[in-house]
Amino acid sequence: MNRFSSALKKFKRSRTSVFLMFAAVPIVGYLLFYFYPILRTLMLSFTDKTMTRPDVNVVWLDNYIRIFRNETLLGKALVNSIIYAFGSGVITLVIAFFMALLLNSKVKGVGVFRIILFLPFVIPTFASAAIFKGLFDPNSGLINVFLYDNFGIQGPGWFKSEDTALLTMILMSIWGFGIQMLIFLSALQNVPASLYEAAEIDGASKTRKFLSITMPMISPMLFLNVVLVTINGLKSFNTGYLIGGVEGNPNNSTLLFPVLIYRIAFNTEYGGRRLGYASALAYIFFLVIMVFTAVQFIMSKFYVNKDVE
Amino acid sequence: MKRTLLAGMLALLMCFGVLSFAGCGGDPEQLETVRIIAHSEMEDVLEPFFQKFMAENEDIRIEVLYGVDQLDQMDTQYPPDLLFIGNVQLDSIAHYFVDLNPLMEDYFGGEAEAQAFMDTFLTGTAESLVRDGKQLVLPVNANVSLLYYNEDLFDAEELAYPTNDWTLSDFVENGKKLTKQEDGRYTQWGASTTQGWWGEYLIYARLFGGDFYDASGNLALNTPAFKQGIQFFKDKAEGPDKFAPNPGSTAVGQGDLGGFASRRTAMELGGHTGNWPSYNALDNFNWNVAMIPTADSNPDGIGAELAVEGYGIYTGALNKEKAFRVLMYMFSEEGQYAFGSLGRLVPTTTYRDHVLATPYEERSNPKNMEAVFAQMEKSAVLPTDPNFQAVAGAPVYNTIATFLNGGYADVDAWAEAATKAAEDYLATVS
Repeated sequence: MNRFSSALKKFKRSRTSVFLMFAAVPIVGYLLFYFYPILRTLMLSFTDKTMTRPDVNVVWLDNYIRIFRNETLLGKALVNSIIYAFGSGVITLVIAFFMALLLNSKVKGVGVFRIILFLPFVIPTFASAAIFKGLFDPNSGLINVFLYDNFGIQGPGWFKSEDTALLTMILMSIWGFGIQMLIFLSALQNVPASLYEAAEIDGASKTRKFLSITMPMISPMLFLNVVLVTINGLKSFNTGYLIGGVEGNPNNSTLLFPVLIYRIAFNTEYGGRRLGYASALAYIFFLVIMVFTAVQFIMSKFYVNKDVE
Repeated sequence: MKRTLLAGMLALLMCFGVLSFAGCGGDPEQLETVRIIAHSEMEDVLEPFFQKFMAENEDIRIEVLYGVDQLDQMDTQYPPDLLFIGNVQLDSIAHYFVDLNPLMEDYFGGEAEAQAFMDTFLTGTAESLVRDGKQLVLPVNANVSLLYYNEDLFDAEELAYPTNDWTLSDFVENGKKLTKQEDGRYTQWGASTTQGWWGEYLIYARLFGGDFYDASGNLALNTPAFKQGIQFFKDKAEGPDKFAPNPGSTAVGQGDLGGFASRRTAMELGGHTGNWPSYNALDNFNWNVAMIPTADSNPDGIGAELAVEGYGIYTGALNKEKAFRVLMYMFSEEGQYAFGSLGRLVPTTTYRDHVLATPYEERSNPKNMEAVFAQMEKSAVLPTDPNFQAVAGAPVYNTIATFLNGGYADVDAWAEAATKAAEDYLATVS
């Protein structure tokens, strides 16, 4: 008993106990809401579990085999998600970066501009997508009607045409560049002014200062933003669901991978909620995201300045 | 102090343990409760209706679960006793339903008496909810395809309203007359185009004598009759006889004008009786219905789809006997009128006679209820394949949309593509 109480006393005084006291809530939260679902999804992916049948059989790799052999939408949804993530990611980063550069300049009322540019980020995707859907409607939307009435031009089919639907979704995604802009802005504001002053004394041009000081100094934040927009783009659901519905209209051209998973897992009209099959799809997608993130970490060696803390 | 703290924690843990196990025993009040799944908009009518039942039956407490997902609720400690399901979805969860036949025989006091009750359901409605000889669900609502028309738009063109003996030629002829353009933009459509599901294209395919599956249950999209139906669907939306929007059109002024409820679309073939309350909520919207036109080349073809939905008892119900008593109360005269007042088309002779007894001019829209009940007699239920809904939706419809936009050389190429799309989908389903 004495040995137990002394061990308890020692534990209470240790750094581990302090760590556990502070971290207990997030750890429990993580285990319950992240670790358990991840594990449960993996287990489900080896079964034929549906929500419409009481019996569950272990089918091992059958779902995975079936997906690679027969799921004609696998490639389509994967390619759509990658194009969407790449397109929206590049455009978002470029716009966010230039906006951050503008907001970093010393002009009057810059605070107001910061709020204005950040505001779209707080508008829910569902609301903004609904507005964009009206705007981009090829038959009656403001853009095409303006083009037709003023220039006699038949505008693109936007989200109603297979050729342009994904591009329209990418254009709509620019709306949410606010958080990336803030990350860039905070990085730009942390670049020591002394570096620019020293460069000026050496006669460096604006381009040289940008390439040799600004870019290397903000490169860790650029890397963070690249990883964030890629993961956000790949797991994007709302825009695809609102524009093309669970069907990915027109003709699966807006079908993103998470929408495909949702449609198989939770939409009764599409095969009776096949949780096992959808879980296998989710794990395949998880691996895809992991590969993309790993590639980005490898590529970061070429452009991230490790000396910047 | 330390010991007191430890003892306190132990006591707390024990309390949690006892409380957790207490839940497993079952609350006696819950065992007296019959839980029913219902749509949210039914609340105003169902609450007083069930309150009255509870006042007369003190041994039963009714709890209606409005707007919840019944599949989610089935896994809970106190699952719903009465599940709501349609004939189209029934096959995927048929094993969750109790056979109502023995319960009815007990309740009515014999097989003949139970059969007399079943005979009050309109032909084909209750039958479509039978699986392996078991009556799993009793229908409280029916949907039948009809030809919807806007009386004001017909009056404006001085055209006679559609009648039950219309053929598809009459439909096309009138549709073209009712289609209007200004400066190359469509301002009124003769008819709507139902996109995304089988609600319209399957009607034409069936009118010409085709069907989704053949008698052996194989896909039958590649038959001449089915292809004729799909060609008609295309010609209606694209081509010289165009009088309906092409959902894939991307040109200004060529799109859908908001469907039948927009009042800029004269007719809707197929439609859904579930839309009646929303149509009637619009001011001065004078609409009515007629039977689905017949194909000129196949006058006996049945195109209209009959779908029913209703209540059955969950195999996991805690008190099936009480649930059945509530179910029977739903089919009392009062119960049928209550569902009728919710815009439901109760498929029984009792409700039909009640509706038809109301003078024509005093009825709410649609006034032509004779056509509705006549169409129910001349209609066909959908295939009882649990995958039908999934296959006939996106996989096959997408190919039709592509066909409408000129994506296939002809209807034969479409049929091949559609069959392949359907087969590919079915291959992913275990």
